[in-house]
Amino acid sequence: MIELAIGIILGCCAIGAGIALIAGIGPGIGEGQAVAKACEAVGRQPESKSQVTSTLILGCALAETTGLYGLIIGILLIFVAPGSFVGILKEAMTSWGAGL
Amino acid sequence: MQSKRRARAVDILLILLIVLPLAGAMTLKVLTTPDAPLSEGVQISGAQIYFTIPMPIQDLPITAAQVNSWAVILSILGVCLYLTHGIKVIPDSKRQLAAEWIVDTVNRLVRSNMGEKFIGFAPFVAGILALSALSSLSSLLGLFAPTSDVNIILGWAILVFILITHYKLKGGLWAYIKGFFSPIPVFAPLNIIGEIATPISMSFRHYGNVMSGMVISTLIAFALRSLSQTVLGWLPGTLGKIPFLQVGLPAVLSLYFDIFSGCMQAFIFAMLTMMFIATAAPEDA
Amino acid sequence: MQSLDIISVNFWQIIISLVNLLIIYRIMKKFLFKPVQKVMDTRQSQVDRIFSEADDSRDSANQMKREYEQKLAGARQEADTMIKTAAQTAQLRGDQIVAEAKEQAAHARQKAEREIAQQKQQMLQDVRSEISELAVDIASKVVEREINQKDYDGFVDEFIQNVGDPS
Repeated sequence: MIELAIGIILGCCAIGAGIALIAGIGPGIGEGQAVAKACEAVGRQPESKSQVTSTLILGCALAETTGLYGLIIGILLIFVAPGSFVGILKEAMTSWGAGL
Repeated sequence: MQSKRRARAVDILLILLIVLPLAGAMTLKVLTTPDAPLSEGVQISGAQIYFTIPMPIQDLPITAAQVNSWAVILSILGVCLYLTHGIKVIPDSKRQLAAEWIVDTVNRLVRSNMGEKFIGFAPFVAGILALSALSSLSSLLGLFAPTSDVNIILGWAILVFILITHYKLKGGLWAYIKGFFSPIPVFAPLNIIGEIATPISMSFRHYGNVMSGMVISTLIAFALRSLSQTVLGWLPGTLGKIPFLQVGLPAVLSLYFDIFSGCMQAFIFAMLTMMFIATAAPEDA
Repeated sequence: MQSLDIISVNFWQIIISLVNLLIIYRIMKKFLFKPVQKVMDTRQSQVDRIFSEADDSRDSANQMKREYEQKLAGARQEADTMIKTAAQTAQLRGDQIVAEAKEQAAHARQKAEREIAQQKQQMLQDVRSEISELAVDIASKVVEREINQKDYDGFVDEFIQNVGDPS
């Protein structure tokens, strides 16, 4: 019984982590657009390449933040959540068993 | 001659001050790291707790992140002293040129981003840059990077948040409160959340970057270790236990995750600090 | 050995890291920025001083040059004026001398002419008296007779009148 519950917890955590990493789509699209525009800008004004590049890297790093939030949630779900959920479950089971 | 010898002795002492804290942190890590057997699987966890001090609100664990950040601070102190030791009006050493380059670059950065009246923030920005970048780079020495501990970054971000609020309050308390109810009073909760989100997003941006790099590095290293044991395990004796496949790929990854990402995030943290503080200050102050 | 969870928030750790950042700010300010800034300011002021000194000396050199040029030009002009004046004076003096000489010459000539005229007169007078005496002698000797003095005088006068006429 408890093995099934643990299995469900682990599976759901993994699925949740996978869903959380969908957040990577947004920064991917955004950074791609930013790079495209930067390429256009460099093509139009090659002399301002260094400025465009530094601004681009800064902007990309900022845009990456939302993706990183998803990544943190994913890491939490994979490495932290199962342990604590399983601990809570086991505690509940023992107290429930003791109550019985 | 006497003074020259003394200067050289001071140089050596300062270089020791730079190197010794990091070496001490590395020794501490080597001494306390348990030799985890491969069969236990990959362990992704935060900083090691060396010992715990009981404190009123919450117990204070002295972790590897704390110790490493102190080591980094001592090293930075050593670097500062080493660079400015024996400084002269007419520069005759490369380290003085380096010191002047650092000061000049940070001053120019602050001046171009915040304006002349915030030039007093230059040491603060330099401190953020140095502490953040060197903390991230300390993972190259095999240390636990202090920047991959959320507490460290959250502390910095909260200090920045305090500074931002301080400069906003300079425009008057009433203007500060009224700022939350603009453009219409309905936006007040959103504005408050946005205000609180500033330090959280700043800290999570930095922490997430460094920590994800660490996690990916750990996973790859573990995978390579297992692969090495599977493929080369037939070698006799201790030769079979050496993870040969760990040579190479982790270095390339560390080039991105440790060096590029660490320096980039340090720069971004400093840039955001400057921009937030500069925009928070009232125009005429 | 225990480890923290990969994400765990601890109040005291946050405070400590906040204080750490403040400490690093103090370190940066006291041990890097202050000495370097001081040295750079000192150098800047020295450079400024050297530049201003160079400017000053260049200005003074320029001024001296200008003064010298002015003086030189003045001297040249003065010399020119002097030469001109001298030439004028010399011309004037020469003219004066020539005029004086001419005058003197004229004077001398006049004087000489006058003297000549006088001498001529004197000579005529002398010659007249001598001739008259001679004539009287000759007459007394030749005629050897008593001639009326009154006739004689008239005769001599008539003779002299004829002789003395220069034309």
